[in-house]
Amino acid sequence: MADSMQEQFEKWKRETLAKSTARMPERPERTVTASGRDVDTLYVPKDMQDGAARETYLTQIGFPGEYPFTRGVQPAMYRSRFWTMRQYAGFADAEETNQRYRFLLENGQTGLSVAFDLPTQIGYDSDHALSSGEVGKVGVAIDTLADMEVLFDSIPLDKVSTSMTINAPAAVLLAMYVAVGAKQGVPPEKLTGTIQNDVLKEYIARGTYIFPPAPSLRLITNIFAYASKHLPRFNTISVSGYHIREAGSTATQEVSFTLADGIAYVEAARSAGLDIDKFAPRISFFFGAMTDVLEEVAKFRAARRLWARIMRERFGAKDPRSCMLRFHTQTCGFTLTAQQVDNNVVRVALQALAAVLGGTQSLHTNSRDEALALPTEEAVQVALRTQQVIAHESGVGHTVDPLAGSYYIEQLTDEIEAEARTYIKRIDEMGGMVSAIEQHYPQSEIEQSSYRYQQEIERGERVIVGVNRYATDEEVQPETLAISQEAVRRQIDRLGKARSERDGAAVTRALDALETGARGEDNLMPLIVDAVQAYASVGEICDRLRKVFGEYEESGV
Amino acid sequence: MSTNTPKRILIGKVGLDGHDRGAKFLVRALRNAGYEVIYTGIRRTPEQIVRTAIDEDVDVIGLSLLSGAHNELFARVAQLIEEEQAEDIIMFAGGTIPDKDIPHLKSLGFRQVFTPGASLSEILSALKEELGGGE
Amino acid sequence: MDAIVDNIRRGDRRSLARAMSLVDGVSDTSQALKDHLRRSTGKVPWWGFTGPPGVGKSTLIDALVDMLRRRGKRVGVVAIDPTSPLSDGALLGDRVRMMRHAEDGDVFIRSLATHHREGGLSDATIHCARLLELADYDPVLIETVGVGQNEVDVAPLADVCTVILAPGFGDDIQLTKAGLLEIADCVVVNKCDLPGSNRLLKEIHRELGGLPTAALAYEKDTKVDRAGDAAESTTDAVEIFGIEAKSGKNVEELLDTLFEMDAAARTPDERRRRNERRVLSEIRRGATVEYRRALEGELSGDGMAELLDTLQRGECSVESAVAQLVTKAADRVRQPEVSENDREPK
Repeated sequence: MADSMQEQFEKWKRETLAKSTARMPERPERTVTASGRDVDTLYVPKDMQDGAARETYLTQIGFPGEYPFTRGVQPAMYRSRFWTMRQYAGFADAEETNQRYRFLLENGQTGLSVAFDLPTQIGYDSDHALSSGEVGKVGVAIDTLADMEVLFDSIPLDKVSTSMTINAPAAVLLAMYVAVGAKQGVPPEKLTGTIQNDVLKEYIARGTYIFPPAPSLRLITNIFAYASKHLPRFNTISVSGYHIREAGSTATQEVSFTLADGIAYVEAARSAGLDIDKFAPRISFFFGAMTDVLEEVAKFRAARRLWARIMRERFGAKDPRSCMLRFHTQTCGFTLTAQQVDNNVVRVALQALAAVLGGTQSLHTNSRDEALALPTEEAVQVALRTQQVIAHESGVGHTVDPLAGSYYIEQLTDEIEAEARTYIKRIDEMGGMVSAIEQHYPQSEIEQSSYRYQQEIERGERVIVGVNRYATDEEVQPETLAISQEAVRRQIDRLGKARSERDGAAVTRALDALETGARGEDNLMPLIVDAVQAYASVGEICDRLRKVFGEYEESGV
Repeated sequence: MSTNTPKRILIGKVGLDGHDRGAKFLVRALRNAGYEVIYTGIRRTPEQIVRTAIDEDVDVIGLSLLSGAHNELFARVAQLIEEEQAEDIIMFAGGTIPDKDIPHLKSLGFRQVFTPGASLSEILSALKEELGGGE
Repeated sequence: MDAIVDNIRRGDRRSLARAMSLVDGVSDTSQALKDHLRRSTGKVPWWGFTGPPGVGKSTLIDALVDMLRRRGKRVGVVAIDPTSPLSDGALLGDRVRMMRHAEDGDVFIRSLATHHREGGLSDATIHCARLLELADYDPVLIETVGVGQNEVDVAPLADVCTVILAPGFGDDIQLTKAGLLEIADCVVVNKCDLPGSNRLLKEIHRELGGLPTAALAYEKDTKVDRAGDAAESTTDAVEIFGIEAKSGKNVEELLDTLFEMDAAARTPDERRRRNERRVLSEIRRGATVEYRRALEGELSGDGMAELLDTLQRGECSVESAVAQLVTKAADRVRQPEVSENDREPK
């Protein structure tokens, strides 16, 4: 390349950066250090003379907002807009959750994140035998559209972005969200948000699956197709590594298995006839953030670069947005200790910092008491403030990808990318991710890493402050949130009410049509929308699908 | 039962909770500590757990649950054990269990309740104690 | 002991479960029970399933149990997993894939560890299988891990022996040469949808002396291939199947064949031979244990130091040392002095 680094840099500023800031101007606040020094948008090795080194820089590291996006998917990153501060919440019933959402929105949160209870996630109604004891425990219980209406009462869906952590029955909950929007007068084109909709990681690490892989992929591609027509601003999949990491994987495994899942979804969509540049820009990712700050930053950069290359080289994507790995991060829950819970605030702060230095698009910070139960309002506020302190007081958001050029970071980024490629190649050889899952490959890799990590802790080789070192005899019992039985009863009552007030014949018709559609090749989304609007329940819809698709059984240890 | 044959432990995940990292670790660690371990997998009903425990003639049932549903589901297991007159099987409980729920679980027959932060060595010594110093 | 037997016959599962633990140990009651079982069982053919870890044995057995139940059978399963050579523990993980039968009163599943015994089974296996017979489970399925010719103890116990392989395990072709196929009445290639399954099937045919004709190539719709078609007696023919246990593909066909073989094993002649085989396996095992124990006793006994000295000084050859050792061991067997220091033989 004849142009010097300085010339390349200027070109980037003139073209990529300018175009971006025209659309999304930088925030009005001055970007200065604590001492008042002006901070530039980006720092590059301006004086890099050596042609080969420059070439390496440009291909490997490059500029933010430009392929391969190592330094970030947007040119100005947090100078234009901070990451979305999105705290996951949801418990007991829709009313209580609605109150918590309004509290968070008033306190400056910019997006909603919905946690559903296990029965909802696994497609059972609140009154199902298997739901006993589980209703409202880890998230909000949603049985019919009536619950969804309560959940978003007084929350304008054209003004907030909602992320729903729902996978196997994602189609149902998405249909409900669209229906609530319609009732508010918000057309689907205006709705923004995300559904997790990543069933492959359920088989690998999270366990809330319903149907076997093949029909699950069919549902997922149905959602892609429907959304590309009706929900252009909605992210219809959040390919997740968080749970894989939580299950005990290494950073490399987190990247490898997540991207391999992504590859499987892209291939499924392509086989379903979808144009890659139509749906790929809507794919988003979800990673964990561990306390080893520097490894995490390298991990995020490696993931971005590798995904971009996969999309262009393997899938021939033309639209640059198809190559952008946009991601949400959650600080890793399993690092939270029950002992000396205030230490967790520090852990979360470091993990959040790693995510920000790594260029995340949105972030959830855990509350300090989450090792014990769902968090109190006070703990949730501290978690949110953690993000706000990083955003407004730390200065790390003033410049893009500040750790670039660090010898350690760049080498680690290269290593993680190379290791991930090896894993992906192995998975390809096994016939792809679905096949690899059926052969228990990612699961057993994770089990081994997890076992090793835990043994290190047990043997004291890996220090966990307050647990295996600096432990104290303590009596402190943080206040944890109790789920009221009241709320569960209310939920079941509401379900009963919805069932008695709806048009039973219409429900049956809609469910029959859905079952017929499931046996055929049609896109099931419109049929599911019909069913939810008739107030068919999550359980009823999923039971019909179970009839056709069967249920998945795990393959064991 | 011969005094030299290893003790048999069933590790069960009851209810809908799919987090099995801890259970899977425990299963391996117990095997390495000399126990014969039967792992039920996730999403098992109390009925399946108890039936398995009895058919396999286990010495210990270890239940793991992180979704907060322990009061209902563990109670059901305890009830079934009583109905089957299998109270000689030692029961342990583990998971995100607040301290205030522990007395109740103990009254149901759970000899030991492990909360988050319990170490492997704690679990192993508790087992040794309950099983009377056997391997 | 009579009470135990009565309870089991009446359908008391707890008694059955406890009896299985009982026969794992040494006691007068245990002995009496074992003798009773020898006398009162033998009608029911046992089906053995073996193969390397990960090929899907448990998944297949889970599917077979399901189908057997649909055909009105009461099924007993004994699943054996290896005891860890380092600790004395074991991960008895076969059950996980069969949990849907946990509440079925007409299915009984028991997991056993090998307790360091080589050959793929534990000493309690035969007694547990007999107990299942006593409790009216028919057929009785025995699942164990087998990789090569050292893990064939299931063969004398199983009237119908199925070896399961699968493609995609780096050395799958090598497995066909490892000696395990020799015990098979039936060879199954599971996960037949994966690449490499055709190649594996061909290799199996080759090993079993079959003709690699065009007819044997596994097409997606071909159900059964029979090696040794030219053989005169059907007992020489080994049935070969390509299946997919998870989806159930070809599993009904496999089951039909297993039933045919099972039926052939229910004649009085076969019954006599079966009981002989079972008893012989017990005798062989018992005798082997005794001789090994005696040998280990000698090898770790006081006489060894002197013997080794003599060898070092060149005053006797290795061959003569062996002869001396063997004589001493034989004496020990005849007059057992089981000392604390004797190592448990494998």
